[in-house]
Amino acid sequence: MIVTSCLAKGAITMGKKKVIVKNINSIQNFGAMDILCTDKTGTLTQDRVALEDHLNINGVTDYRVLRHAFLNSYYQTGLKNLMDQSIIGKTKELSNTYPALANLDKTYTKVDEIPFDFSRKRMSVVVKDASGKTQMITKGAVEEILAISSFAEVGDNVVPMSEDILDKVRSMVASYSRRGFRIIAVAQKNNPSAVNSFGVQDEKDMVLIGYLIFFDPPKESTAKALAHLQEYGVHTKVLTGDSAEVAEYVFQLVGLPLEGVLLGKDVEGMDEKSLQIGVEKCNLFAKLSPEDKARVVQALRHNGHVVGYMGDGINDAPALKAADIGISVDTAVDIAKESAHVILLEKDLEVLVDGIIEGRKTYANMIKYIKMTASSNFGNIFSELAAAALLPFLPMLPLQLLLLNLIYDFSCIAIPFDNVDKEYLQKPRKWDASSLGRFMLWMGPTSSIFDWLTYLVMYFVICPLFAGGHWGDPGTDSALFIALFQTGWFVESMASQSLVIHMIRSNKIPLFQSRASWQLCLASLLAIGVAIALPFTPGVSGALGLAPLPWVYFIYLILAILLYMLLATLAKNLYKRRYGEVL
Amino acid sequence: MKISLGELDWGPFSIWLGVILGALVLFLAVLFILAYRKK
Repeated sequence: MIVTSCLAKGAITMGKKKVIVKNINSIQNFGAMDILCTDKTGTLTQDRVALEDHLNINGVTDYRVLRHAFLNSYYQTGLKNLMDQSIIGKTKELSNTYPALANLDKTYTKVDEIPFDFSRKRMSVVVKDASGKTQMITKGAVEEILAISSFAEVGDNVVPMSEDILDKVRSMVASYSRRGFRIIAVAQKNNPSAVNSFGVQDEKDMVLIGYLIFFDPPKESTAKALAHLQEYGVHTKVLTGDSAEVAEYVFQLVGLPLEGVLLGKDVEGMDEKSLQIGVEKCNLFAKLSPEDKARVVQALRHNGHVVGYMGDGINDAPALKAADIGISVDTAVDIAKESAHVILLEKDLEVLVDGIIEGRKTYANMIKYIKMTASSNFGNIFSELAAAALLPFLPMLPLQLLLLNLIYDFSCIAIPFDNVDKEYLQKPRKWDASSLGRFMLWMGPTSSIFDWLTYLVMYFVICPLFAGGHWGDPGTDSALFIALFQTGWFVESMASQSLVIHMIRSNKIPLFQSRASWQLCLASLLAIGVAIALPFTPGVSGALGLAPLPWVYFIYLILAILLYMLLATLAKNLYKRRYGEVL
Repeated sequence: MKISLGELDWGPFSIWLGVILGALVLFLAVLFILAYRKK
């Protein structure tokens, strides 16, 4: 119940910070994430892909290139991405000044299309003008368009593609890419196949007519957010379908040091073993297909990392599925949102940092409860074993034991609201079951020693004093002896369980260096208060087999609890010395 | 109090207290050894 409450509280707080958790269990992965793989567009950049220019082969602005690009973007029926929207917007904007760009949707009619796919990296549209001439217009990644272009339009002439032209094209593309521009090439050919028989096989012998130059500037907040992620132990890797040059330029602008680059063709040529080595050395992966992105994520996971993947496109869906934690945004395409575990209401890495911190807080409070309860229960087993072997009666009735657990669990409802030390949030937290076992062995016996001490004081001192004699002596009120004994352990158990959380909830010195939230302080005091009040409540105490405790018991209780807290703090510090940290 | 402090069984009390304190010392010794032993 408490673990679920921690997760639910985490999900609510994350929601307030614009992070919507689809699967509540992924909150813990969020806090454990040590590598964030992210798409470049819209995450590092502003997601405002602006068409900066439309050039012919000679690098001169040419409205024919824009016209062809418009027809392709306007008539394709697939998802209109930011580039398509930018092309359409720019054409409409310029149509007032350049009549050749006006009314294109009326001048041309669509005949057919060959949709985009990530292996071809291009799309084609076939249009017909008023004279009945059909032409196929293809746009896509430069290398992919060059591969299907046998001709180039130089000035007013169509000439066969030559090595000189290819060199010129590649050098111009490289020059723009180095300055952070994204480039799309446009090609066309007249009178392709007969109507209704167009296919991928028609994408050949095309005429390269020019390029479109786009710019997507980095967000102002990106550099700060990346530094924050690094500060919180999350290493960022960029996985993009764009060229390495464009991404490298963005790396420079956002101040992300480039450690190494792997291209899609390298990833495809690597077996799993080589890829697992390669992914550790690089932080930029460019020209990737959707499958390559997923393979990179899987390789990182295989190396023991907890990997988050942030993306919003169709091409991100396999990687989002492959990641420990898929992160998308509410403006993403449906398949990306469907594949993600977490949805950000704002496409900003700062929002992600807030989510990571909240994930770690949730994990801290969860593990706090699990470790504390496990060690406390383990200690109780020791206490019960000793009592069963040495005492002539039960140290606590089953009803009292159940009631004790009920009150304790109610007090633990405040744990999800507890404060977490800033230092604890600095590094990723991965679930480690081995730490639970050793914590239990280390802290459990601490509480048993004070349980045994309580048995001793109750059996030899307090019960004889107030029940009229030792156990078994004639004249001793046996029923009162047992009730006092059981009540003494009931109250001591509740006090020690409720207060020990304040000792082990942080690596720091309790109360002085790290304080619990007011909710947890109040819940602990209430639990102890209820446990003390029950034996004094007429009607209830009798039904529960409890007896009012004498004042001398409370002197013992205060001393015992103080000593227990000191011992628990000592044991915690020794544990910290050996294992580095408590939680 | 129905009986006086002098009537209590302090002998067995002291023995068991010694046993518990012994267990505490032993437990702490183990913790100290584990904490300060080179890994």
